Amino acid sequence: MIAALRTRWPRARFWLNAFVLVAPGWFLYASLTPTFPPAWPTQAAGPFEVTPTPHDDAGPYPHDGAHVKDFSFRFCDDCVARIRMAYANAGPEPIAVLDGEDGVVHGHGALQEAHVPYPSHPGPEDRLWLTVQEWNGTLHRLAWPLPRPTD
Amino acid sequence: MALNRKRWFQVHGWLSLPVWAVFCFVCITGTIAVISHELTWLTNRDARAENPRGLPPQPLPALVEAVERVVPGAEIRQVMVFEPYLVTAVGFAMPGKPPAIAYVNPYTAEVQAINHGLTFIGFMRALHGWLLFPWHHSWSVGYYLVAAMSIVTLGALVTGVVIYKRFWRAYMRPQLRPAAGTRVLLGDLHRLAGAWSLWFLLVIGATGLWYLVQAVLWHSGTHVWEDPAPVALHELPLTSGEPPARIALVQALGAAQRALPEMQPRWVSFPEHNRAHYGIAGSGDNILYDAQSWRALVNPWTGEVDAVRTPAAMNALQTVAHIADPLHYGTFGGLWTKAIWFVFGLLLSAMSVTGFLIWRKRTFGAVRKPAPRHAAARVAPAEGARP
Repeated sequence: MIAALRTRWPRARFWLNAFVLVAPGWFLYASLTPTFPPAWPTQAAGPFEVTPTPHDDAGPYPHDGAHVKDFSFRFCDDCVARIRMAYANAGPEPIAVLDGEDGVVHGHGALQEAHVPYPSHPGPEDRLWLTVQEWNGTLHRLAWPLPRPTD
Repeated sequence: MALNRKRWFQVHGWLSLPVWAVFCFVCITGTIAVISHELTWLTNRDARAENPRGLPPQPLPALVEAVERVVPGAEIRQVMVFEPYLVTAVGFAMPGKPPAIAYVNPYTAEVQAINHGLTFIGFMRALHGWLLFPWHHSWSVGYYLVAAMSIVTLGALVTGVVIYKRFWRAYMRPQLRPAAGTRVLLGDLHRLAGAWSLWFLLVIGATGLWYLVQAVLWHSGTHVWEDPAPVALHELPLTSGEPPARIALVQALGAAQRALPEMQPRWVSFPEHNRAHYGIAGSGDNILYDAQSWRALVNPWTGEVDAVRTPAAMNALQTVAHIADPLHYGTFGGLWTKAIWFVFGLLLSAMSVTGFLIWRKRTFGAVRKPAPRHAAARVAPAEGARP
C-alpha cells in the first residue's frame, strides 16, 4: 500500500495541481452560462402579479437551526413599492403574523428573493405560501404546490 | 522526536511541493488583486476621479441623485467610496435589467460609466479568494483551498528559518552569486527573498489562517456579529394605500455622523425591505481597522440610530475579523502600502517558482547532467544552503 502510494504520489501530485488550476476556467464558464430551474406559474396576489423560481433543484439546506430553500420572486414592475411587507414560507399553512424574521422577501427592484423556511421532507399538504401586505394593511395570500421529492 | 536539519529541510519541501503550482497561482493572483483598483485606473479612464478644478468631494446624497437623474427608475442598493483618485461606485437595480454599478466622479458628481457585469476588481478577488469555485450557501471548496495555503505559508516560514542557519546575515551581508551557476543563484535568490520577506510571510500567513477559521465559522453557522433585530412592524406607517416616504439618505447619514462623529463614511447599504435599516459604515481614527468597523444602523422611518458598532466595543473575534483585511490587502496606508504589498507579493510568487526549480534541479539535475567531481570546491556553499 505504502509502496504503491510512493510510486503514484509524484504523478498524482502533478494531476492534483493541474486539476485545481483548470477548475477556475471551468467554473468561470459555468458562471457565465448559468442555468436555473423553470419558474413556477405566475399568480396574482390582489393587484400584484408574482412569479416564484427556486434558485436550484436541490433540497432545503440547514441554516440557523432550521431548513430553508432559496427562491426568487419576480413581481410586476413598480409593484414592490406598493408592498408594506411580504413573507414566504413552505408548510401546511401560511405564516400567521408578519413580525418574524424568517422568510422575509427582500431585495431591490422587481426581482426579490427569500430564504424560505422549508420542510426537509415535504408532505402532500405542504405548499409554498406567499403572504403580501399592502400599505393599507390588506393581506393577500398565495400558494403553490411543492414538488414531491420523487417528482 | 527531535528533528535534525535534514528532516526540517524535507518538511520544508513536503509543505510546498505537492501544491506548489496552486500556491504560486494564489500568490500571483493575490499580487494582482492588491493593485486591481489601480490597474483599473490605468486601463479605464471612466474609473478615474479626475479633479482638474480642485473641487471638494461632493456629499454622497449628491452622487446618488446624479445616478437617479441619469438612470430614471434606478433603485439604489449601495454606495462604496474608494481612494481619492478613484470613482465612487453606486450599485443599483432597475426594471428588467441585471444589477448594475455606476462609476460616479466624487468631485463633479458626473456619472462616468455604468457597469452591468463582472468587474476586473471583482473577478480578481474571486479568482484569488476562492479560485471561482462555486459557493454552496455558506462554504466553498475553493475558499477552503486558498485559506489552507496559509498553513503552507506559515510552515514554509518556520521551516525556512530553521534550515537557513543565521538567516539574519542576509540583512547585513546579502549574498547573490550570478556567476556561480543557475542552481547556486536560484538558492541565493530563494534565501534572500525569504529572509527579507519574513515579516510579509507572517502577515499573509496569519491573516490567511484567520480566513481559514472564518471559513469554518461560516460553514458551521457561527456568527461573528449577531444580526440586528429588524425594525418593529408597528413602526412602519399604515396609509390609505400610497407608499409612504422613508427618510432620505441625507438624514440617515446625518444621524449616523451624529452617533459616530469620528466615522468617515465609506459604505452605505439601502434597506432591502421595509423592516431593514440603512447600514452606514466607514473608517475612523485607527487605520488598522477596515472600512466596516464603524457602523450605524439607521431606522428608515424614525431616523433613529438603532445600533452602532465601533472597534472599542468589539470582542477579540470581532477585532480580528476587522483588522485582517487591511493587513492582508495592504490597504491600511493607501497607495504606498499597496505598492509594498505588491512588490513583496511578487517576491513571494518568485520564491514559489525558485523553490520548485531548486527541488527539480536537486532531484533531476544530477541524473541529467552529472556534476563535476570538484564542483563543490569551486563554489563555497552559502550559509544554510545545505541540510
